[in-house]
Amino acid sequence: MSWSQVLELIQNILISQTGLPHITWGQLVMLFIGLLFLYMAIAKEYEPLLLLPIGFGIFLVNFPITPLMGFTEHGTPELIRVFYKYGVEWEVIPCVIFLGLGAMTDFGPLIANPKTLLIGAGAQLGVFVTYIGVLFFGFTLKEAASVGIIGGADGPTTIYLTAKLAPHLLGANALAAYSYMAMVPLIQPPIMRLMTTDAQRKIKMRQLRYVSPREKLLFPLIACTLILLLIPAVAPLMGMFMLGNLMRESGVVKRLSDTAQNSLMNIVTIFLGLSVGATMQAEVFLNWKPLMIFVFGLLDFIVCTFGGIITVHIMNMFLKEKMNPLIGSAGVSAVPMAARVAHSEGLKADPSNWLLMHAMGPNLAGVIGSAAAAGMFIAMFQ
Amino acid sequence: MIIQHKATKSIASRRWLICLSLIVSTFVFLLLQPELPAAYASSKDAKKSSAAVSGQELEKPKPVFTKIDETISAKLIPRAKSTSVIIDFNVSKGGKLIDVKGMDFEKAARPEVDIKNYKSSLFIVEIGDVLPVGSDATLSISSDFFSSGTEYRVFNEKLPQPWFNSECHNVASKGRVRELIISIKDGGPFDSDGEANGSITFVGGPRDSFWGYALGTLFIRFFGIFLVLSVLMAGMMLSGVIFSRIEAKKSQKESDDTSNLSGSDVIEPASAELEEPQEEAVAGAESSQEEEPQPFESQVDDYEIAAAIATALHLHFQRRSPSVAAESQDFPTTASRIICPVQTNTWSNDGRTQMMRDRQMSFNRTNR
Repeated sequence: MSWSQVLELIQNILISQTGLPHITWGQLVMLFIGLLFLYMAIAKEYEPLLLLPIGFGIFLVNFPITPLMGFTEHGTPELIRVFYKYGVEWEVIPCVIFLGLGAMTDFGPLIANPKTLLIGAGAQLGVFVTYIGVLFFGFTLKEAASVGIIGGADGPTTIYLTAKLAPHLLGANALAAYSYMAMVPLIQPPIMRLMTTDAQRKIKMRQLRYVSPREKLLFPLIACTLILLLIPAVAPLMGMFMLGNLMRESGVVKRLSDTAQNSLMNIVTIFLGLSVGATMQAEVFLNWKPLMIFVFGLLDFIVCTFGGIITVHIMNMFLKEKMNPLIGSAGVSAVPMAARVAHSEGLKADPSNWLLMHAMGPNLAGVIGSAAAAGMFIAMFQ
Repeated sequence: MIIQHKATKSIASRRWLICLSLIVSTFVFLLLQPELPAAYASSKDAKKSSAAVSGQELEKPKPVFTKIDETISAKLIPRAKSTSVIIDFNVSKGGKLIDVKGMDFEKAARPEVDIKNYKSSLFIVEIGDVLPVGSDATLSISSDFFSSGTEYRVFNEKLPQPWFNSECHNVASKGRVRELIISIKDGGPFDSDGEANGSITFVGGPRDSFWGYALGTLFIRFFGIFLVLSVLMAGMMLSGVIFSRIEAKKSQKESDDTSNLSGSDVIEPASAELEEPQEEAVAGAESSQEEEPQPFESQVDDYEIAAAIATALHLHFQRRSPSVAAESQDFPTTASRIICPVQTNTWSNDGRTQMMRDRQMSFNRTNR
């Protein structure tokens, strides 16, 4: 073998088998974004359970010619593609997360004050306003629906709907949803103060009634029956959510309930984060749509908060016992962050006003409301 | 401590916002760079993926045609739908249906026509044996995908205004199927070949108002959520009333039993909430005497129940105490004292604060 042949071989190896000659500016930018999210997760501890795997997913797939998100010559999916295909594309992971969430949720505050369900419905206003707003910017109906649901502030619901309707926007939507959920304490208070007077913020609400274990046990069955009769399209999400809750409230399957809340939830979170991060490849992600999604996601959250508070104001016109309008902001389903924000704003107005449990009602209603909105959108495209 | 926590959270959230702004700025900067698209163009895969970014492209209908007798059916997934629909083409009189083909919208795109209004595909319909030459043929297009507002638009590029309405008859048929009936003259404006030759080439597609649908469905579905949650609310209120009655009856019966057993000097529980924990505590105490020592967790439960009972009894007796009543003159009614026990003394205030913090912790779902 001559020197020229050796050099040619080295050259071929360098060009065809290493990533360096293939790297693009877009990939470098995405690597930077991936590292930024890893920094946020590790150093700042912002939603680390999700942002760490998402950040690492972005980081991994943006190296050139890596066999992670593609298919082999024989059509076999590569490693992260397998997670994505069977976990997200087949809609398994969001539903399993809903099972865990159901097992974690105590519906007591909602059962004690069912009127707060209407606040959860009112807080979906932003979902529909954003849906119309993005249509003006050239999004298709399916894309608009998947962007609108960000305001519902429910990560698994956003991922479920986006994977179903507009999978190419999955990364941007999931990132926007989780980012803004982390920013609820910053986004909501100015709107809450703007839309309420000092006297309204001081309204004290009556202690919630006692909810018996039997009532809590029957709630998932009643809720499941009524919701699924009206919106069958939401059955995968709502069914798993209520199954998790039934396991919790029955008290006879503590092992299953614990598994759903902890081990199972943790396992699927790893695969979900990694799969979502891996969808953000430079050539897909770097365009004007993710930018619009971030802008409209923020607007969505603002309008949802507005919708929740305005719903309480409207309800107060008809109620003898007035509700504190601050709890309206908890209608977005960022559980329990939104309820805590309502509670802390109430404490600012009156240090003896404990709104947490009252705000948990609309907060849980928001989870049901956003799932219902997702079901409405799915049904719309059937 | 809470205020400090909030302040920390607020600062943290601001930093988070700054970082997001940085990302957005990076995006804007990149989008303004002319060489960036060229970098993508160098990669074959990138080309494919870039094409995949467009939702319009992804949702492009791809009709598949089958012919049964004199009817040709197109099966396709329209834009803004996830399930397939079937559109049937049939010539009812004046000719014979030869073929139906799909056509890309790009070939007929004009600035005044919005692709969003054409949810299904455009079709090229070929009709033969139009006899006598130059006469009319009647085309029937039916599907359950059509609504009463569906029009059929014709495209004829030989005309100065290539797009126009076919003025079809939109007729309700069996089931939820609607039929669009169009009369086409051989060699007329609907005939793209432009000649009266016994053969018609008819190009066009069904049109529905995109914005009408989008806005209409917006209102219906938003109020649909209210409806669904209102039904759930009504169901929960009803079950709440039923359960409250059951609980009230149960507690009444138990209180009657207790007074029969112990006489009239037994103190009634302050609320229904106390009854079950008391029972459980008593049951727990009994079983602990008979059986093996309880594991640590159940012992903790017992202590918590005992503490809860002690707290409740304290509040109950304190409420009855005349000295406390004198202290809380600002809250003269019993009801207001129950609602605001925080006003009674620092002991109960601290206890309440602690209890509320514990409840707050139980709602911490950081795994989301």
